[in-house]
Amino acid sequence: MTKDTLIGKGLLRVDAAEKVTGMAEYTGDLDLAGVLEAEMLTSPYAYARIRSIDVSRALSLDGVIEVMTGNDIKGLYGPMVKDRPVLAQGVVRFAGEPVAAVAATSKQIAKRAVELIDVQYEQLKPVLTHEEALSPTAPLLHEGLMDYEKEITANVIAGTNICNHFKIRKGDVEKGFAESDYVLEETYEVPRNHHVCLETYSVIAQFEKEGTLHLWTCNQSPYVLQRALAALFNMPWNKVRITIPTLGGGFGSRVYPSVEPAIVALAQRSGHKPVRLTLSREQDFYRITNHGCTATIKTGVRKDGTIMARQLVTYWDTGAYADCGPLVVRNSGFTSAGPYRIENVKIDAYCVYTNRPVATAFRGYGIPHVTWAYECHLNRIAHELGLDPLEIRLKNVIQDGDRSHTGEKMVAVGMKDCLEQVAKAANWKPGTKPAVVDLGDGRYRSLGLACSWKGTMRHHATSATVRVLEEGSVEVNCSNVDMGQGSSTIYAQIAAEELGIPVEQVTVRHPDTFITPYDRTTSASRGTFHGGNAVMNAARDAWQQVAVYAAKVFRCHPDDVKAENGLIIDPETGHKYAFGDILNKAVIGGVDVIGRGNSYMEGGTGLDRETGQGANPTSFWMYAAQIVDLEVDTRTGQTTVHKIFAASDVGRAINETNCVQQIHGGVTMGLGIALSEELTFDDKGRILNNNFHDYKIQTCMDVPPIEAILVEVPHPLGPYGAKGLGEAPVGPVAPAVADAVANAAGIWIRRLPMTPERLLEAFRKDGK
Amino acid sequence: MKKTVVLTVNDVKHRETLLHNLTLLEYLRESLGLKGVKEGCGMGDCAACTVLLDEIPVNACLTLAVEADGCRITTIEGLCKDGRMSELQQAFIEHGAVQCGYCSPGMILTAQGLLAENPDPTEPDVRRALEGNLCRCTGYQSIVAAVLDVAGKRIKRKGSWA
Repeated sequence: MTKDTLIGKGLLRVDAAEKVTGMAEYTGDLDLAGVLEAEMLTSPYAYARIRSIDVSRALSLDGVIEVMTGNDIKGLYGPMVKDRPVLAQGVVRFAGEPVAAVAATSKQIAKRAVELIDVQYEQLKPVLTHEEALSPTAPLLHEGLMDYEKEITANVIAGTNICNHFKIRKGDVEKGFAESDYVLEETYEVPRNHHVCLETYSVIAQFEKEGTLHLWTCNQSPYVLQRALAALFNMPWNKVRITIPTLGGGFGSRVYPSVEPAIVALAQRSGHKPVRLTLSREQDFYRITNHGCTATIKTGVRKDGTIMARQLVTYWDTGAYADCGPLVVRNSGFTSAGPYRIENVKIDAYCVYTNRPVATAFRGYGIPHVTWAYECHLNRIAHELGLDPLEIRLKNVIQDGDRSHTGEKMVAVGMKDCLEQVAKAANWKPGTKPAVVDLGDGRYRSLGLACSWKGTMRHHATSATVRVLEEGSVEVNCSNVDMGQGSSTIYAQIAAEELGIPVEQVTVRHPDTFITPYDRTTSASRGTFHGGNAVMNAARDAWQQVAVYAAKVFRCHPDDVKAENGLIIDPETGHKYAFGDILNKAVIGGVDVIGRGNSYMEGGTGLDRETGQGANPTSFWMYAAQIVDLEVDTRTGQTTVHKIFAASDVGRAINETNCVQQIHGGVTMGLGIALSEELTFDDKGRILNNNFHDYKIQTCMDVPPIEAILVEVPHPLGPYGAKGLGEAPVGPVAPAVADAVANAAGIWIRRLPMTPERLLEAFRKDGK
Repeated sequence: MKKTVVLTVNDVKHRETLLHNLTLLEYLRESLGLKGVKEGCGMGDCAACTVLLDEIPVNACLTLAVEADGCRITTIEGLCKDGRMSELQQAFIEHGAVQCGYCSPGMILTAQGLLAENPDPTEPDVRRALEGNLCRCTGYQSIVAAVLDVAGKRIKRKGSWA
């Protein structure tokens, strides 16, 4: 092994060349002989009973191989609550819910067949908001809720539409409010928005020889799918093969099964032919969305800004099926009082079924929603107390040795470092309020600040193998999916580092449950930490085996053997040998070296159902702080963002370029959520803007310069001190934008996105 | 309805009899297997499917294959010459302008079209040219830098750059 040389460098992505030449294969690019094309019939109604379905005309169409409805496939699936049928069973619960599925010899025939299916519905009054869903007169959208199989995370409440009630009870908030000089209570809202992967969802399923199911999909979590499909179709795990080609984005929208079960069911009934479904952009918007959230937050502070108590009640519109909503509510729930030292915390977070499309994780498991609430709220409090936003944060921010709101003793906390470094970059001095520049014609420019923290998941396992081939090239097998975040480059770097070989000699295999070992999920920014540890351990195990062979050849102790630039060094003579020479000398006829590594940490805890207390609920924490420099035009409501300074604590940057990319991308996504992105619905629960001309993501004309600041507070358990990063930069953007708008023009926005219309309305109300 | 057309794709001439309603995107992907042409929306909103039609970037999803009769078409696969990547392709790698990669082919071809038309673009010129190409991963900064870098190097080589 060599000294620390590759870690920290901005090495180029291992998969960039295939992507810029058009050679990278995404699921929709695969050519499978005889592939059948699928199409789904979806419900036009948000809530209705299915009176009858007549598929006879569709079945008689030439080229139609199979038509399925809910009558043909029973069983329920869902990662937290098994509440979701493969195809609607007698009732549809959201507009866009699959009712029937067709496999045909061409996409055109499949689409025509779908049009020929006759469904008679009896419309019911849909429940479209969490308020309606929680009303005592609301219908129960899942009458069988208590009987469904569920994970421990889902704390369902009988006789309601609540599929998780997450609680934190720490200290005594009433006492804290009584001891405060100032108490403020406000309500903040985040609408539903959408992940917008540039690649629409694509799946191919085929039953191969010996009853093996082979599924190619652009999913983020092959092993979640393997187990879910095995359970649903009653198959052993080793007969379910999930192959993950290149992904065109993920952002949390692809962690759990969605359309896969229906396509597998079609394939099961289509002989050994592969069946493919590629969604159109309009369909992709309905496949999955992000949660809408309403958060009522109440905080008591002393005159000097010390936070005495904080209480939150949040409602999450999770849609018709729970998906990972209960986990979104838990994972955001235990962070939702913010990265501050607070003795008295009370949190009630409710995950609520409605008749809207299914909501799932979106780059932060609800953290952007709660960050919007707690950071806007804190900025407002600072304003009321005459403190500046930086000062009030530095006073309260959580630090090493403090207890979190669940009772965790915090270590390696980079929150204060992020705040200090971002303030320094933007030249914001503590105790001085940001200047307001009057640009004339009703335009004002100022700065705004916000920060955020995010845990990852619990201490779930990830495994990896590293195989050293005889001639010295190396394969890394890990099932953490590179969906654009760059994990394969990180793994190649780590394996190369540990084995003393150039990165170019390493190939990172695409995830395939028949080849690459277990990984819990590609989610919660866990890839570098867990996958990185697994690959590091596997590479070390492989090296130890190589060193034993080399020691045999050199007649020395294995500990004395080193490698550098792909050559093994004889400690006695200093002569250098290729890996292959040594392995072939050690074992006549050659040998395969396979190193195994796991990332699994002892000591993880759950969170108590009544108090939310637990000493170790997350493997690590991420911290981010940002300052936005913008101008706002009070005549038009138009904001122009000039610059965003974005600091993130990455533990240690294994690849500097990748880290900067994650910050640029996360901030850009956060800016879209702040300014323009919102799914709009009609009164029947249908999405009105399921296309790119009406759903506005940021273009290159919208995005200002972003200065990425990498803060490195090494994590004791991370590979080389590294930890996750990807989700944390999203959350602070919107509250920092709102703070800058408030500082510049004196209006306080409480609902996203901050479109010109919404700002203009606020200016008018404010008499500006 | 069918029409016989001649399409020169990545320097190879194809005489084809094609349905009138076949899009250029479908023809390139399904008939020629050029899977580097990506469909992101099918409605001309994202430009992931951009190809060059006589050096001009067009959305292949909004172009009928028969409309390209007599034209030279360049897809991302056609940018490599003798196994070497183009300057833009290399610059995208070097500037870290690639993440999930789904928008990259369209982004690179739009930039190629810009540089053919305007060899000395300013940053606003580059941003305006790429405005219709959506990317969800990068934040665009590295993409714009890659394009400006290539333009700068080319001009420097020609000796007309300060």
